[in-house]
Amino acid sequence: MKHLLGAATVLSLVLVAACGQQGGDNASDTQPNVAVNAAAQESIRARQTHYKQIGAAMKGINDQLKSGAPDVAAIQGHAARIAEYAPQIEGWFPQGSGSEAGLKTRAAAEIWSDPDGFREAAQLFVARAESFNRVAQEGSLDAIRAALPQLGDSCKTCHDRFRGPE
Amino acid sequence: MNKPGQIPVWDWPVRIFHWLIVLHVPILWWTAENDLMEQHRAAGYVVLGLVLFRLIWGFVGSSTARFSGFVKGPRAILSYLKGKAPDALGHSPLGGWSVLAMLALLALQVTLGLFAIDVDGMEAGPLSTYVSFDAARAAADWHGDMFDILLVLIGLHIAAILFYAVARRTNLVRPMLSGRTAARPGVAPMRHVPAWRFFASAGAAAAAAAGIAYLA
Repeated sequence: MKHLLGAATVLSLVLVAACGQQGGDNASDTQPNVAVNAAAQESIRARQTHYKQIGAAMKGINDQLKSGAPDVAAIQGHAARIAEYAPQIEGWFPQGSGSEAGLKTRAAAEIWSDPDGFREAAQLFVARAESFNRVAQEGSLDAIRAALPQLGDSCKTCHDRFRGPE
Repeated sequence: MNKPGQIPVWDWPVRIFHWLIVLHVPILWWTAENDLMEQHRAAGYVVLGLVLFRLIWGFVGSSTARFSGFVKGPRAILSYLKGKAPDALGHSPLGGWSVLAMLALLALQVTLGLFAIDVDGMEAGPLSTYVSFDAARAAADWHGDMFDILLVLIGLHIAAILFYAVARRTNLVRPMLSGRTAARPGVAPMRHVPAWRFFASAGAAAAAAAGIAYLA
């Protein structure tokens, strides 16, 4: 019992000391952290906006294909938008813009721990987006219909690995 | 099935509806978990038709199927909880609200699914074309959350059945299979309705579900 009490006292002293130290560190780091977080949060917001635009473009293409009279020009606009954003994706995830930035994000830690895998997945999307855009600009609905699933698969390939749970 | 001392309590449309829902909820969960969206949509259309049918049947079906027969006010629920309610066939005043809540949640769940879209913009409910990507994503998020609430209600439903089995020594599952229960003094049996009403209700529900699924 005596030993236990002694051990508890030592442990609590260590904890108090550790907490004090932590507090000291935080105090001196506060200013730079805020600046870093603001930049990281800005890139989270920006990429979420852009991804929603890509999603909306994908929906726009599918909506046209499902409609009785697809508007090829609208599909071409969506395809061009996706092909324009795709090569930018690798730059949308600067270090520190994961969940540690303090904003809700589903960007998985694997984006930064497996950069080669992430680059590969992003480049697959770039390749599919560019080839889909080429097909779309040629204007054949049958070819567009045939090419779209491959583009969708490249979204999913990356999301399955690098988009985390809520 | 016509054992002496047994009276009808659930008509067969109510029973088939019930067990088809029991079958389809796990199918819908499993197809969603495994990204089998083609099959998920197909099972969703079945539930859409079933829910529409049950809503119609709640107005024109047999006596124990009707909302007017089992949706009771707070006073009736209170006297039921005190054990002072008159003995009657079908849903209890409390159980009636649980049935209504599950039905409403299923209707909401199917409706959200009709408007939902996945994050890639590739897999979607048939009515998603009428709303924005953001709205369809919100529908998809709620579709996921709503399922958890549905699971809670199903859990309560099963807990109530277990309570009846253990504490009251009453088997509620067998009547939902056979449609019959032991006659009790002073309790009137279920009143049937003519079969044409079933065919008209089922036909209308199936046509509406097919219309939403394939013409939208």
